[in-house]
Amino acid sequence: MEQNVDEILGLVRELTEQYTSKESTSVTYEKAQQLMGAILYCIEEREQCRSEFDVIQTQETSSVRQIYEQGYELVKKKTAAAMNQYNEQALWFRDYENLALRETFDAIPEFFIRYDVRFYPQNHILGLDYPVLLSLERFCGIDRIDAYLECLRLEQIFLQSFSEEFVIESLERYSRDYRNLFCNLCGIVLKRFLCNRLMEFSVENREWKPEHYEELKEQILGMEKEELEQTCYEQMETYAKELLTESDRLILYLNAGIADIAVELKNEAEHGVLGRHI
Amino acid sequence: MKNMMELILAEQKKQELEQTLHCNELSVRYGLLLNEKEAEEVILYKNEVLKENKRVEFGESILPKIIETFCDSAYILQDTYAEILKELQEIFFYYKNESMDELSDDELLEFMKSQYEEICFGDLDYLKGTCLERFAREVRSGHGADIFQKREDIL
Repeated sequence: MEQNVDEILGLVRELTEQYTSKESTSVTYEKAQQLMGAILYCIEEREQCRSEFDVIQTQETSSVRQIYEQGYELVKKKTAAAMNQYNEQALWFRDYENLALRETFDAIPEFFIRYDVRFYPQNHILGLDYPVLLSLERFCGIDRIDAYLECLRLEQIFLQSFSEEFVIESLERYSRDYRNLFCNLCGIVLKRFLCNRLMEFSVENREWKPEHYEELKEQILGMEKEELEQTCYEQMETYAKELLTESDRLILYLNAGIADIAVELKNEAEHGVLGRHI
Repeated sequence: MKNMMELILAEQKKQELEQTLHCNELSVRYGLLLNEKEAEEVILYKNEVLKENKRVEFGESILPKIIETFCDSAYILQDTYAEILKELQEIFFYYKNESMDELSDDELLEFMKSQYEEICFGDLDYLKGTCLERFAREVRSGHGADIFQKREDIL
């Protein structure tokens, strides 16, 4: 362990020299922390892919420096892959006229321009204002951007499985001002889709009459929250499996919104306001 | 972070003392010498100043550079040599921060030396409180390079 700390400190020293171009013998604590963080980030990246490397190299022969350099290369590769994913996604991306989604997506290339793999890989630079269903707080650097892009990709797959008219109408029923709101589009459409499925309507049904709301209300009130959640999950799962061959990721992603939707439906049914957003 | 600093400092201590004593070979030509005890005190003081200014040295120490830059000054005498070195270190790190690391070590030392010799005539308070204060302000406002070109006109 002590030897590892020594090696890490040696790496920090080298990185500091590179950072200051040997023009300064000292740096601030903040800068030292940043550079130490840069090294630990790459080491962690490499540790996450341990099995991939251990086939080639046994742990005994790997020095901290080797692990760091391999991690650094992995971060570079991941960044290049994320950029490709972004470019590919941009070809079929739809913002459904939501400003937050459009501007957040358009800002992502700025990350690739400014991302500093060597001296600050743990910095994700962007605020990523458009909210996705999953909390990405535990990720930083390219990991957060990569995870965010994946969330957007899964959202687009789900949203584009419906006609644009259905999506826009669902969003407008949620709020006439949805274009200027920082809200998750996928969650809104998922909720409407689930209501259709609970009523055994077609997925894109838009003909909701007052008696339908009453019927849905009775159905929801007749279920415990957990039961409602389970029913919603099953409906979503069936649909996702029809949509994609490899649907696991989509199911996992949409599932992050199910609990909130179940609570919302329960509350709306209890207060007789189901028709407000559906 | 605290442990990290301690490890770094412990590792550097031995090397630094040797380097500092090695500087005697140059400074002795100007009648200035540090004995081992004084050198240790100056290094310890530097480490305190580094902590105060929330800075860390990873590799080389700035002390040999300060000695090399200032040892030929007519305003430094053997009696006060160690004390002046301590103060110069303090001023150096303070203005490294004040100039937001926009200056390299050499640039800052060069400016400190020229002001110390030509403007302050060996007065460290004037160097710290007036000359470098103005200089750091100019550097922060992005005019540091102009000052290097026209430093005679500043004061």
